[in-house]
Amino acid sequence: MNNFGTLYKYEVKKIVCKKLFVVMCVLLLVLIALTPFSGLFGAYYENGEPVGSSLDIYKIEQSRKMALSGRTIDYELLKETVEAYRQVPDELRYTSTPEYREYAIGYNEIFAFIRMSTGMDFKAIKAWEPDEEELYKSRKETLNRYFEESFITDAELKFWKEKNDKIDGPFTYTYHDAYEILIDSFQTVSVIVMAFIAIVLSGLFPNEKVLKTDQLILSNVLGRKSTFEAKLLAGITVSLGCSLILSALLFAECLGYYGTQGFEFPFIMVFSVSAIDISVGQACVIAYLVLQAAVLLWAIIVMVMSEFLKNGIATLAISMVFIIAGGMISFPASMRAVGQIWDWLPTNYPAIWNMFDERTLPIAGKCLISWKVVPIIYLLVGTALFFTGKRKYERVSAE
Amino acid sequence: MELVIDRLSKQYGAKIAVDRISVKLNKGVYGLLGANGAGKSTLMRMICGILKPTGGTVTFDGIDSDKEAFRAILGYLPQDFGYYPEFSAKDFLLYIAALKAIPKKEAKKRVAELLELVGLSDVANKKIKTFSGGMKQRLGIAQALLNRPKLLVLDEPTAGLDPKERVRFRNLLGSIGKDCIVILSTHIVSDVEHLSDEVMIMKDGSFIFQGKWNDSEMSLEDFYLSQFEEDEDHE
Repeated sequence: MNNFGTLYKYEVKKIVCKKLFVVMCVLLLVLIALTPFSGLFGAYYENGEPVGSSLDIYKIEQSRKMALSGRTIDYELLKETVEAYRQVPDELRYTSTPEYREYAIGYNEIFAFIRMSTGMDFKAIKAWEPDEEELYKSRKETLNRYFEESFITDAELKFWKEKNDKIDGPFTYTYHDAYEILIDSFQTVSVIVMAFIAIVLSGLFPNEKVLKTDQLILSNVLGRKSTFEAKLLAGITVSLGCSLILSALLFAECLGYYGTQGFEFPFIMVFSVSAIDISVGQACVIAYLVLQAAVLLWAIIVMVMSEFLKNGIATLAISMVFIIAGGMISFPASMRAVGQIWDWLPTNYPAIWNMFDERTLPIAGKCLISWKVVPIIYLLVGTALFFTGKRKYERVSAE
Repeated sequence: MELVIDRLSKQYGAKIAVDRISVKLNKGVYGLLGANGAGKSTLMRMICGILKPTGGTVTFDGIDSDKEAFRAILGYLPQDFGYYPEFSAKDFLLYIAALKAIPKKEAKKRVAELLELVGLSDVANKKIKTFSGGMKQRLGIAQALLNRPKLLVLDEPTAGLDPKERVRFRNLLGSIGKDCIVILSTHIVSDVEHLSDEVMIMKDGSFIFQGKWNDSEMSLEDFYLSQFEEDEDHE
C-alpha cells in the first residue's frame, strides 16, 4: 500500500490533536485512577454515627483477611465464621453495627460463600451447625438448580452440570482484594472506554465534510483507496491504545495498592453462578482481554456508522443510546435468543455476569463458552463491517 | 493532452445545475466565468471526479474521471478550501503529498519548493489556524501543484488574495499553463482577461460563450455585466 504509513500517521494526528481528545484523556485518567479506591473515601458509619474513615475500617478488614489467607475452608474455618456472625445482632443493616466490625469483619467473604452455596438467610446461617461436606454438596446442588431454571438447552444443562460436578471442595481461602476490585471495576471501565470511543470517533468521517477537506481527499489518487483503511486503523489504534493504557493503569493500581496475592483463588467463590473452573486472577485477565476485542468491534461500528450517517452528532447520539440502554435494559431469561444477542453486543458484553454466564453458543452439538467464542464473532463481524464501510466510502460522491 | 467533456449534466431533483455541457480542452488556461449558482463549482467537481454526474462523461486522454489514473494527473483547489487547523503548513502539504502517492523523500523536497514558491517558507511549521485568508489560499494553491498536474482545476483561486498576491498568482499560473490544462473559475473578469487563453461563460448550467474573446465592440466585462442586466430585466 503506497504511502500507507504516512497516511496512517496523519490520520492518528487528526484524532489526537483535537482538544476534545486531550480533555477526554485527562478525564478518563482521573476517573480510572480513582475507581479502585472509591470504597476507601469518606466516613464509616455505625448505627448512623461516623466512627472513623472508610480507609481505617478497610485496613482492619484487610489485615483480618490476610490473617485468614491460606486456610482451607473446612469445618474449623466455617465454625469460626458462624461463631463470629453469631455475635452480630439480627438487624437489616447488620454490617453497620459495632459487633460486625468487632467480630465478623474479615469473615464476610466466607459468610457470603456459605449463603450463596446453601441459600440460607442471615438468621439460618447463625443457627447452622457447620458441616463442610454438606456445604460443598449444597454448592453443587444450588448451582445445578440455578442452571435448571435458566432457560438453557438440554445440551447446555448437561454441559454445565458435568463441569459443576467436577468442581470439588474444599477450597482454600486466599486474600484476593486486588482481583475482586478489578472485577468490580470492570463494567465501569468498559462503559467509560466505550463512551470515549463514541465521543472521539463519531466525527472521524463526517468531520472531513465539516472541515471541507473531503473534496481534497477524494480528488487525490489514494483518497478513495487507502484513506478508509488508514482512518479505520488510526481509530482502532487510538481506541485500543486508550483501552490498554487504562486497563494497565487499573491493574497497576490494584496490584500495587491491594497486593498481588490471591491470583489462584477460585473464581466460583466470587461469582457463584458459574461452573467455569478458573481462578479469580485468570478471570481478570480473560475479562480485560475480551474487553479489547469488544473495543475493536465497537470502534469499527462507530466509524462505519459515521460514514453511513455522514453526521457526527447522529452517530454519537445513537452510540450513547446503545451504551446507556445496555446498562438499563435486560431481557428476561425466557427470551433467550433476543437476550443473548443484546447481551453479546460489544457495549453490553464486557460485564462479568454476561461473560461468565451459562449461555453458550451451541454448534454441532458442542457448547462453546461465550468468552471463548465472542471475540471470534467480533473479529468476523468487524471484518464484514470493514468491507461494507470500504465499499460505501469508495463510492462516495461530494454532493 | 486533451480533456473531453461530453454531454455532462447534473440534476438535483427538478433543478438542472449543469445542462449537457460538451467541450474539448487542450493545453492552456481556461477561464470559467459565471454568477453565483451558474453551475461552475458543480461542473468543476464533476470534472475532478468527486461528484457523480447525472449524465455524460469526462475523460483525460481517454481516461475516465472516476479512475485512479485520472486523479494521478489532477490538481484541484476547491472553492471552500478545507484544512486541518491543528496541522502546520508543512504537515498539511506532506499529508496531501501522501494522498497523491508521492514518495516520502520526493514529497519533502517538493513541499519545500512549493512553500518557497507561494511564500510560506517562513511559516512552514506554524499551525494553519494562525494563517490569514490569503495565506490559506496560497497553501491551497500549493497543495494543488504538489504532483505537477497535467490538469489543474482551480475554483475561485484568487478569492482572499490581496492585489500583490494576485499578481504573483497570475505570474505563477502563466508559467504553469504552458505545460498543462488549467481551468479556473472566478467572478473577477480581470483575472480571466489577464490569465486565460480562452473564456467560458456559464449561465443556468450552460455555456453562453466559449472561445477567445476578440470582440472589439464590447469588452468581456461589459458582456458579462450585460448578462446580469438581462436577468434583472426579466425579473
